[in-house]
Amino acid sequence: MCPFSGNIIPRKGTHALPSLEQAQADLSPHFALLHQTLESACDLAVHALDDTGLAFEPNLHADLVRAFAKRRLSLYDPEQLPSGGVCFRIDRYRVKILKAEDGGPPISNITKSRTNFMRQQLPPDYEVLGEPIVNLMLVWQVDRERKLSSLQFICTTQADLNSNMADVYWTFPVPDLISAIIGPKEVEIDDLPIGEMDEKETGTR
Amino acid sequence: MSRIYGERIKQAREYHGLTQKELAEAAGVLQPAIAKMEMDATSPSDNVLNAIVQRTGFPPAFFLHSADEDFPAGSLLYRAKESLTVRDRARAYRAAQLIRECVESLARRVRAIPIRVPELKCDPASAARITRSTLGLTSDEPIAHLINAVERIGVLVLVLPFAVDKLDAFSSWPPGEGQRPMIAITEGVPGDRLRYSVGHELGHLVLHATPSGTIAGMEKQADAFASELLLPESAMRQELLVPVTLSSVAQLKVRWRVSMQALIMRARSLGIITERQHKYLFKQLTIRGWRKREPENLDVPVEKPRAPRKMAEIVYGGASFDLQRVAGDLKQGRWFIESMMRPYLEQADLPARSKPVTQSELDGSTVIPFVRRADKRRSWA
Repeated sequence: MCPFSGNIIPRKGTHALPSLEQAQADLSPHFALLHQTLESACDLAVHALDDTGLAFEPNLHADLVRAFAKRRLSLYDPEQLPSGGVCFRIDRYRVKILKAEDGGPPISNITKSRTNFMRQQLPPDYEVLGEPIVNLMLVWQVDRERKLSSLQFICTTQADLNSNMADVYWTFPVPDLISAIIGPKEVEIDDLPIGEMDEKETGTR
Repeated sequence: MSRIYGERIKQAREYHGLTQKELAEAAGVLQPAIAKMEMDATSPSDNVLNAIVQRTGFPPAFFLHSADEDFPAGSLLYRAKESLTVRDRARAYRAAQLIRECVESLARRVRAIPIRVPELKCDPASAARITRSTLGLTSDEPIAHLINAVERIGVLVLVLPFAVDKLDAFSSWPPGEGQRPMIAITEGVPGDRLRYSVGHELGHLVLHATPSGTIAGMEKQADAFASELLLPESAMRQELLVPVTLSSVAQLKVRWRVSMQALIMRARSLGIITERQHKYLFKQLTIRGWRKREPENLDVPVEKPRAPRKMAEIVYGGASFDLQRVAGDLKQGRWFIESMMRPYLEQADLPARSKPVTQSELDGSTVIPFVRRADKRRSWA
């Protein structure tokens, strides 16, 4: 039974949700760690499959990615979810790591808990202190080489159990860590210790 | 008629990458005539000399004084075994020879930097650690400006004012007491690759003053030297943490100013990653097109040497010295002096806070001297 399928705390609307700009500002200090976590999790999953000699299977790969990501994100104290799901808190944001579905957003009605999450609903016993909690999906995608190709936050407001559609409030990519790095700067150096010849040495006087 | 030196004709021709036949056509003579002139078997007529002057741009005075003794081709010989063409090799050698002649002429008129390049017979990693110590570096700090550091231990770093296919740098230590070791670098080389090449050539100077073993063996040693010099093992074991990803090596590239590829190879050589992980990371570089061109935002600034220009500033009284006067003194074309001086750091490129040179630095009295070997010609010179 899905743990979130009982009493649901309804959300009133988007007024409780932060703007795109606010969310980017709040989450930007975590971009590097999140990107590196998913990047290395994707790499490690490929290596793990190679090591065991198992044929590549997308669901198994995704399970491994989640497992490696969860281990790396232990500092965020992830929730204990069934089926290896990864959900953790960054301040007011409750972030769930999900794999992109055929290049698009995750299917909204695959489980009731997923639908509720996308509806910005919280589990009944969820501790809320201070600002309202915001459910966010952190959606990852790999390329043909199983390398992380995109990572984006998606904030939804509504989802329908009877269809696979959800209302997206905003979305933004977590910048590729490498493209966000500021490269090495010119180095300032002191001048070389080359001097004029002494009069004695030049023989001129 | 004044004597025309055949060696000068050859220098001028090879500097421009011309064959004897091509120069002969420009001079209105046959190829054997140029061959004889270069061997001093005949002397060119005034008309032929004028044509050679026109074609090469070197002034008549250049051909009227003898050339300095050839210096050993040094590590340039190693490239000859690989893919460098004979013409490119000759052109690179001649450019270095002509530039070195001018710079040595300037060096005789200033108080130059004492030569402190260690000559070592030990394993490359130990040699690199000793060299880092000579450069005044601890074992865990990046080398901020390698060329400046190398110049400070008395190596003459020259820039060939053109790009040479498949040649980033070469080095040579001319025989004779007090002769200055030299590293020649070519233009158009990316900053990270240039640093690695300079580290490699410094390895040849430190380890192979007297060459021994096979060329492949010496090249491997110079690579190992450069790796330890630029990416010391003790620091890498602290900083190249698993899982090693493209993102993590990209961040280290900024700090250590070497290519991502060099960092991945270092991780492999130190056993930090497995062969399979090494191949995987290189495959990722290839997919992104980063084997040929690493991300632009991570470009390492190209380092420039300073010494030759500083010598000219001292001899000719300031940063804006008269190129024509220098050319006249050195019996060179103005174009040559201009192209020769262009790739170096100028006074204006240095920070205003650049501290004045102290007397002890000029004396080299703070320096631990290394014993220079006795004058002995090398078997490969």
